[in-house]
Amino acid sequence: MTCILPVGHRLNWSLVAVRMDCETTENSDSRVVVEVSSLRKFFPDPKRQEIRAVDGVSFTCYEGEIFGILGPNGAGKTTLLRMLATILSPTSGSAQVCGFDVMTQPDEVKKRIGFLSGSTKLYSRLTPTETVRYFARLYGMEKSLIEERTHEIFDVLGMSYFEDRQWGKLSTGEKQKVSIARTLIHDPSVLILDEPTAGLDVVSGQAIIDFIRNARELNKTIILSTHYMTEAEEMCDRIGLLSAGKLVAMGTTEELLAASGASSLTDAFLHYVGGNGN
Amino acid sequence: MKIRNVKTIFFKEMLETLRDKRTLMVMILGPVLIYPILILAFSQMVSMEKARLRRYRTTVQLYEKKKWPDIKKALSEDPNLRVVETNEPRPKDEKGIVVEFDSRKTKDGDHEVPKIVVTYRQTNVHSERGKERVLAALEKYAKEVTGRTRVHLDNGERYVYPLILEENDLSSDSEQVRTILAMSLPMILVLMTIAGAMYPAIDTTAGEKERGTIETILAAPAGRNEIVYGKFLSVFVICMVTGLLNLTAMTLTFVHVFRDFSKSFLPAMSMLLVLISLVPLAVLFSALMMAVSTYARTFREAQNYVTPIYLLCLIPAMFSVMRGFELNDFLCLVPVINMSLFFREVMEGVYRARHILLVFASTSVYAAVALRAAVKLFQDENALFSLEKPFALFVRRRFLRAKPMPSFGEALFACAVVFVLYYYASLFFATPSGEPSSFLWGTMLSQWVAILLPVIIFARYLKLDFRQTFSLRRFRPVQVLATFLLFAGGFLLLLELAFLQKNLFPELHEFVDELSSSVQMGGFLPAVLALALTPAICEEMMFRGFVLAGMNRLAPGARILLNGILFGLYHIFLFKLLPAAFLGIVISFIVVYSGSIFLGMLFHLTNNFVALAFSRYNRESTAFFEKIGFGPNAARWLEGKGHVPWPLLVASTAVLILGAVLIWRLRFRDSPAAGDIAETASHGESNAEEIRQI
Repeated sequence: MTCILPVGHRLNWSLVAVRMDCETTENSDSRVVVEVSSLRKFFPDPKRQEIRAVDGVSFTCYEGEIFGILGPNGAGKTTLLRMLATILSPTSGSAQVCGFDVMTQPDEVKKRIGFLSGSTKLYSRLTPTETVRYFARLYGMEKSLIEERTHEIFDVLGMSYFEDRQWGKLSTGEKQKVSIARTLIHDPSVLILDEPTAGLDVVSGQAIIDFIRNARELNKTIILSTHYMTEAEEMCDRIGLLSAGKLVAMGTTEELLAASGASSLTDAFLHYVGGNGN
Repeated sequence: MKIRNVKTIFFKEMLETLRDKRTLMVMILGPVLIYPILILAFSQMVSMEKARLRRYRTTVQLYEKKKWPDIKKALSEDPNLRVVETNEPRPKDEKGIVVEFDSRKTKDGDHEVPKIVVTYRQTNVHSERGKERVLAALEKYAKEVTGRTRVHLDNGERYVYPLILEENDLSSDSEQVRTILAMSLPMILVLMTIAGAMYPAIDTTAGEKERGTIETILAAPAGRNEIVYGKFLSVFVICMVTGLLNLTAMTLTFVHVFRDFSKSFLPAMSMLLVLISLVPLAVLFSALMMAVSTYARTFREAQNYVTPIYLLCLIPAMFSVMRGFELNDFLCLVPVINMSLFFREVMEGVYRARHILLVFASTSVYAAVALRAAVKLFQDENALFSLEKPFALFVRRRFLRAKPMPSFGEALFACAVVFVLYYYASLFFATPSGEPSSFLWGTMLSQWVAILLPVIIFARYLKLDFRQTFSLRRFRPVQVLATFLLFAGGFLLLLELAFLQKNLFPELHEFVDELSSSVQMGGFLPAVLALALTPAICEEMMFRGFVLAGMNRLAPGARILLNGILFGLYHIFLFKLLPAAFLGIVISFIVVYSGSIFLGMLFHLTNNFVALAFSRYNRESTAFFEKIGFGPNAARWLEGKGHVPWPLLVASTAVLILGAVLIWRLRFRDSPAAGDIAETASHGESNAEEIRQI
């Protein structure tokens, strides 16, 4: 196994080479990594019968691409990403990650994704080493490989000095690093990141942005949800605008600007989402 | 300090606190619900124990060194004492008593009085009860004699106690210690073991949710089953270790304090059996508490769900203290009670293979069911992500949206409120010891005011659709026929069930007598109004209306069963539990599949009317049944004093099934049981924000 160590912008970010390439079927486009079609998720609601959190969303993501999902609070971003991560099961429609269906082959999907969100917290009474080992075992990794990768990732993220302190006692930035280590331990080909910078300060937030950029350099596919316009504009190759469970527009920043006739992404966003955002 | 600010803050705090379900539970529902339940349960337990103790018959061996004929007669007056003559000074077996008659001279030497020695064994409940009966009989005799015999002394008249009584307890100190420990330790052991499961169960489920780690683990490639079993095993191990440590500490303390007796108590075999049977108990409570806490969003919320379960376990755990109860085949099947009594039996050094098997098997079955429930709940997104908000209280009505039916939480809340209101209302309005007619009117009033009224108000407040919530739908004439078939078939089954139940939980005579006398003396028509028509309307609106509607998310079978059980529990008295639950199940079946509450009311009315008519026109109805060919024994089983002959039971079941099939065939297509998902969402506003935050 080779190890690529690109020099990061501010932190020495690095990711280990992609070992587990996407096993896509021969006759399909080899670059398609995530394919979502007519995905729906309705929640039962005792008061109003049902809530249509995601209502017929379709999109495709290609290898090495950062796909941003932009939407106001309550637009269904989290629900959409949770379905891709197999945490929620769709009401209808389908989604495939690396050719595996989220409904029928959830374990195969899980092995190929790294899922990070504001609500994927870690165990406060476990140390970073214990945490990362715990998840690595669940991913079915061999003991020697676990040791090796833990060591590497901790080195690269500069986590060695707090590896034996309990998670609950770490600072926010340190906690975030453990979460990143947890997401990367099994070297996933797809990263699903749900508002990864929400609630972080500038330094920690920048660390995440660096991490995402480096991941793209390693040809990972990244699906990112956010409601920060600058973040989306700077990082994403393509952006999908989600409003009230529906994908109202999709394309590169330039395409979105051109289509809406707006001068900034914020204006374009408001153009599509408008006042009915909530 | 500005008073205005204090006031502003005070009102905001009050509003916020009152909107917190937990505070409401602890502050209001907790106390008003727990006390009636605990007091009712305890008083019933005590009267049941008394009823059981009353039944014990003890053989008393008379050993007459000197004949005192009156005394022997005095003993024989008690029907529970079987008097036999002997010339042995020791009881024949553990249960026996020897009453030895002798004589002794009084101090002045002028009189000869009887000297009686009662030899018994305090550690044996039969022997001990027998001794008390003997003493009571002798005391009565002594009083009678004192009235006749006067002894003149120097200083005028003085009564002399006419007999000398000595008690001779055969049980050794160690046996007594063992009996006391065998009574108290099982209760402590059961409760401590259950408590051991409580916190880990909450921590691994609701705790994970609160700390936000549940999503992390769900994103990892571990199946939900694997997650639940892993978590369950850890809770189970901690629960077992708690039990084991309790048992060990108990034994060591015992050995240390009672060094002299330790050999006679807690032999290795007993310890081993107790330890093995802790396993299914630990599985049961680990799984049960995990299942319950999975529903909660936070640790504290889970605590509020689990604590009442723990409190309810207190009552069955206490059975080991009640000496009137001994483990029998039926009690082997009742969870917690079986363990409590089984531990006592084993600690007393009694090993019965049948009991070991039954207790172990039944607890294992319950444990398996609880574990399955925990696994299923963990796979249910709604439970896992706590999507469903049980109910909103203290929200201004104008902020509530109209909806067809109440939620499950609202239904349970209504149950609790109505139970409490009705309990206190009937205490206030309808005491059985009052005037017969006032009892009837009070019952009627309580039902209308404390059951129907709150349910209607609650439904109005929640802006429910009355037609759907209360199943106010028309029915077909054939369905009336089916309802009567169900009633006719259920009638004898109900009698048999009531008889079976009577053997397990004796009736409270006081209650039954007063009730029947008020029916006899209050007049038949008022009785029909109060005890048949009123419950047919009020209880049906509550249980087959509001509560059944609140359960519409459950599968029809589960709905019917749960509704029946709730209906049984609502009847407060254990001796009514099984028959009422049976009725509840049949009526729920009718209403679920016919979609019409009126058929439920018809069934309820018919049932209560016939029961009243039977108690009013007892002789006539018995004669009628005998006449139409139910045999000369009909009187026995009609009065609940014997089994209903089995051919009749088979025929009844057939009629019942016929009625059920008819109801099923004509079932209401758009019934809530079939799911109301078809109805489209009328409000587009997304509630996804709520969902996003687990």
